[in-house]
Amino acid sequence: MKLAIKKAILILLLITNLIPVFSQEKSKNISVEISNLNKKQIIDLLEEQTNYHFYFLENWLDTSTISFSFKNATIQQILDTVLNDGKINYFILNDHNIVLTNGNLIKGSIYDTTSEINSTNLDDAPVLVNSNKSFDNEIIKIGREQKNKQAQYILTGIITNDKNGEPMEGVTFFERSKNIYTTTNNKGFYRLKLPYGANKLETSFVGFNNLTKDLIIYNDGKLNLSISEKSEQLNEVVINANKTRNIRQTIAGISQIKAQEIKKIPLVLGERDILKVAITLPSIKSAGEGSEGVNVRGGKVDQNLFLLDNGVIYNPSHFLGLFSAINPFTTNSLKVYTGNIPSEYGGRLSSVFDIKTHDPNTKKFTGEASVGPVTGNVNIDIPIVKNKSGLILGVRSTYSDWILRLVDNKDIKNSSVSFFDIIGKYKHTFNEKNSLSTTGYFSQDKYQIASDTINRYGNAMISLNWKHKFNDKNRGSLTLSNSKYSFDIDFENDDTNKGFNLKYRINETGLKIKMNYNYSNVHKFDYGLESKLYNINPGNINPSNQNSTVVPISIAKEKALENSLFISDEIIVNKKLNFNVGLRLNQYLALGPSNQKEYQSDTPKNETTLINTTEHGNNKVFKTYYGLSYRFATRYSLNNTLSLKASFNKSFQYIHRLNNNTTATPVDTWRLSNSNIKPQEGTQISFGAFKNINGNDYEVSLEGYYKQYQNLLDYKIGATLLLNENIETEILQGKGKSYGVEFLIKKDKGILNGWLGYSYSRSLIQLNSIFQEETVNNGDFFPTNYDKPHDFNAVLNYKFTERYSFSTNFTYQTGRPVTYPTGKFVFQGAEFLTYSNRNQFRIPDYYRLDIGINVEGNHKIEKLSHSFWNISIYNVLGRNNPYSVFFQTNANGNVEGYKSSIFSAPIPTITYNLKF
Amino acid sequence: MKKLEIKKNKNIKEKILKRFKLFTYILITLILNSCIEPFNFTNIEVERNLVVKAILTDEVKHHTIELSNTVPIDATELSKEENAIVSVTDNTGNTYNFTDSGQGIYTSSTQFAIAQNTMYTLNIETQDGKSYSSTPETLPQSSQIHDLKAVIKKNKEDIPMITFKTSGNGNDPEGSFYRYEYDETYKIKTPIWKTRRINVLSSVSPFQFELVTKDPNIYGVGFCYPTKQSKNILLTETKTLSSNQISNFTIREIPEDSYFVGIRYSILLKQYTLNKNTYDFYSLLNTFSNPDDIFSQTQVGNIPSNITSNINPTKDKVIGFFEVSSITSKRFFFNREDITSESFITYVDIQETCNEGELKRPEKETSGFSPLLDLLNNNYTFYAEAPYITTPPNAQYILIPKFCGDCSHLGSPIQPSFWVD
Repeated sequence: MKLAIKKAILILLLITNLIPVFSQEKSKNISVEISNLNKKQIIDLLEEQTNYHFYFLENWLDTSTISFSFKNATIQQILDTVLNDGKINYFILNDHNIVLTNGNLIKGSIYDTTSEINSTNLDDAPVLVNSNKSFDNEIIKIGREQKNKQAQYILTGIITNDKNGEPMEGVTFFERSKNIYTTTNNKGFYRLKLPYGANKLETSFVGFNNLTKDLIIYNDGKLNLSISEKSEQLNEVVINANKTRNIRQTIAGISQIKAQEIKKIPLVLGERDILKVAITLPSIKSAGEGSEGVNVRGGKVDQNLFLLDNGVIYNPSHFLGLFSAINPFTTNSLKVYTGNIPSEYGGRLSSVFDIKTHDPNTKKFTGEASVGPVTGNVNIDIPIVKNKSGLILGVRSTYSDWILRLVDNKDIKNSSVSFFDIIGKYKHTFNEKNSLSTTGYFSQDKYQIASDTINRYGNAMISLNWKHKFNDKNRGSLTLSNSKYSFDIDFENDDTNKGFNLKYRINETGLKIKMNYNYSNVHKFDYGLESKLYNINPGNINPSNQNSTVVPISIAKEKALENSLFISDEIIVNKKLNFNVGLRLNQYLALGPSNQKEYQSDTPKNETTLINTTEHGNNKVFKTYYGLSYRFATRYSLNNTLSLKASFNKSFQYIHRLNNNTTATPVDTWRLSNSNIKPQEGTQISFGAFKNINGNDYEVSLEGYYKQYQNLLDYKIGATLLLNENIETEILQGKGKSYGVEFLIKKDKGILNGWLGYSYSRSLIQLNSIFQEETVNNGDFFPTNYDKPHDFNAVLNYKFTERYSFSTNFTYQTGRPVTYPTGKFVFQGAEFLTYSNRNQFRIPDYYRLDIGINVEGNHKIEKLSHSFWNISIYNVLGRNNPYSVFFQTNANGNVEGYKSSIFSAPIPTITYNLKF
Repeated sequence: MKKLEIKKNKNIKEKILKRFKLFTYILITLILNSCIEPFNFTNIEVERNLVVKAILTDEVKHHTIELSNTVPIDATELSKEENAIVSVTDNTGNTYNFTDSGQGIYTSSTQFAIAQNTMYTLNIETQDGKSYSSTPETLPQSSQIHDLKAVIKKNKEDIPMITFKTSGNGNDPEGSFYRYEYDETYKIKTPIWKTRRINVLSSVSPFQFELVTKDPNIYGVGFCYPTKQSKNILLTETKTLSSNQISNFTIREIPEDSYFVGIRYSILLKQYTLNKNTYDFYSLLNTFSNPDDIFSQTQVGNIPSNITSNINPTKDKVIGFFEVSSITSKRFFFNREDITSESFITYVDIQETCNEGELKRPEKETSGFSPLLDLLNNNYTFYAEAPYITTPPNAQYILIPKFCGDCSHLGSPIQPSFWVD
């Protein structure tokens, strides 16, 4: 700031005082011998050896050294050489005085007005800036003025995030009045053609402060910028990072959700939730409130891979799915692959949720806190080594537990719900070529709902990511990770002899090496290997107290190694046609120790048909599965705003989530493929059309898909899946298929923005066998528990003023399929029901409207902290959406039907957020 | 002034806290109680399937098998399956025939008991020509009931409950599966007992009434003994325990202030030892009819039976189970004062509903109508003789609501033969 004032004063001085006394200089010949001196030293030397006196500011001069020698040269020749590389101009006032200027070419005359520069007066027009106006904004001079001017010069540079110095992709950099703009590429690089003279350039990027720079372009030059994150992005207009990315990208079915976007969605119980935003997209569905997991394009809940900084999270939800376990404040982005999953990912059939934590601030300490009715959340960024490394810590916890204790109702007193999650990320940038980051995550849930049974579940994950750049064409990354998921069911009852503690554990250790090879403009390769070691402790039970006579049982541990090699090639045939081709070779090794059971081949699997049990020693491979999965995607652009995409792929899955409920729960068990449980397989073919309308204001897409599955897991009626030593006798494997069309229209800019999505989709399964006991619904295809043909979502935001905005979310879904009673009978004096075919009927349709109002604190830049309030009402219409329909035989022995819903009334919440 | 301010602040603070509490209370209630409401389900489709209830035990008796058909959900009457041919065969060559004794009940022609180490098969041929048979079943090992004790325990709603808990053991060292049934009988007292009753000599004009002494063999002595059978499925198992011991398994819970345990209470506990498949059947029946977790709904469906159609197994499904179980039973008595110090309770509030205001004094018959007979036919009973008054002319009896003077609407006034006071 001070410097800017000084400069402005100097310019003024020069213009007002010195210029009028302009006169033609005399030539004098000088001989000089310079070796390895910098400009200041050369000038000192010239002052010493000649009569010339130089006027300049020292900080204009860089410290680069040069060597040259001149004999009988003019002062002009020498100065041309000395100042050749920089932006310093010189002006010889008279025999003694030389004025150096920082870019300005000093003229002998002055114009009163800042006239437009055009080609006719280009040669001698000076660049004048209104000093008064420019006082608060530094004027940056690009290049050194030359006598022969061009109409346009090239400005290049890199835009980085000032927090961590990382290059920013997709930043729009523009000259508003001249309608000149560009966006940065993935290295943060931009290139802009600007007219000679004064230009006012602005940056624009979602969630970042707009940076304005006044430039005077004298010549081609460089300008690197760093932009800072906004403290409040609430009212920010979201500009799609890549304006035409949806048109240009080869692969269809990738949705990216920036953490900022979730601020626009009304909250449930005051919680921001990135996964809740995901389910507003047409390809992603959830079973409803109070159920875990999502179903992507008709796939099962277990077919989704959740990655947090490349480490697997088995259960990314809290409190039976009501809240996501991903801290919304530390999350940078969520990328969901639903169509063609890149070959670097494997092991799940339906989707990959790639969640990235943002990089720590390496410059200053910042933090954020929020207080809602259910949870409190604190996040801090701690710089460790300035500009090199930093740490993020995020903690979120409920305080509902003590609230429950205040409540004077035994039913509720006997209940408790509590959860917390902690995330930490440390990132160290060693140099331009190496960076290392590590993320640790831990979550824990505990709940007891009006019973003596206490349930606990939690995730633990640690991942280590090393990125290395070999050269301009080759980059690589190495990831080591370990993930755990566990649940405990504790039944505490001192009175009977049945108290127990039940435990389930899964542990996964992964190694992944991924290389990028930028072979040419046509081929870009990704290749590498991935290896995962699974260790599952499928359940053990122990007596919980001395009275208990529960026999300890421990189901044999399961172990397996999954190895994969992958390669993919992004082929750019021409501007219109692209391909993305990938292969992934999987090897699955089921490892001992294990007892594998063999059943008579022509009978159903049950205890009576068991013929042999084979014992396998530790680490002995007792079953191997190979699978070659492939990915093929292509894109053809008809023009700049319309493209067509198609993809075809196949994948394998070796780990399965089992439960005998109609919806997923935290106590579902993950089990591995073995001799009796085959891997699941899936193929998908999809087509899509993508169109941008009205200068990329609206993005419209229409996609269709057809998927086929083999060996989907289901179960016999009334199966016991927990603590079952012969799990294969309860499991059925069958074919599945799902298909659908998805429509999405999205508007990111303007006072009113948001998106509308609709999908029509079906999801079916077939459980057929020659044996009656292994057949469901007579062996015909029937709807899965998550088959919901119609799905409509609207998310709209309206910005009243800079500080007030209104958001709304509407959801409509066809009701979930259910098995319905078709008759009754009396047994033992009580009525019981007979049932229809599985999933033959549906519960009533689901719809819900939520609204939210965001109020921001004022926007004073110098304020120490920024705050905002969020007021939202979930389920404004008070729609009593049935979550399930069930039938109960009451005390009189009569059957009664009930429908249950989780939130049957509007739920208002207020959340306070503070950023410091 | 300053003091006042502080007080004010405190008030506000309290108010805020209170509001906060209320808010969170509402919130948590919303989360936890969510919303479960009954709804009227309409019958969608009528599927008629044979329902079999066949429990054979190691008790020597005429065993019975019940056959019926499934009915629509809104049906009020059951559909009995009659004229079927029912028999049980064993692998030693015996056949036990069951004959139709009406109402879908088939009784064995001979008395017999299921024996150890023998396989029994059920065969049914219905009158429409369909035939069914079961898989062969064997008798599991027997068991004993040791004890039934009553304790008072508060339930989740904080209501004190008299809780009956049983203990016992099984003879199979590997553990057993158990199911319980009980018949409960409780002694109740008529609040206002009169030893005489009005006998109607003529129920047409001229009406004639007389006062007679009640015959204790018909009307009892002022006590009644209602008997009820258990309707819920009570299951437990000891397979997962280190010893075949049943410890404090809850059989029945009765509120402490219930007249069920007003004077003396008796329970006949029947303990069945089941085969695993039988246990699984009951267990599913129980799970499907008592969903207890609102967040996760068990996948329901028809429960596989061990009885299948010999002709068309996919179409003609059977509901129910052919069960071969070992039974043991034991009767227990409890006096109220042994369980609780809470005072005696009867089935009506005497002060409220059996007080003087409830007494009726019918007028004398006029023009072929007897107000006395009308009241006697409308649940009134004799209370006392009334002095004659002329205006208005009255009948000579004072009446009281029947439930105050008679408990037979709740159960037999005759003491059951098993009863021991």
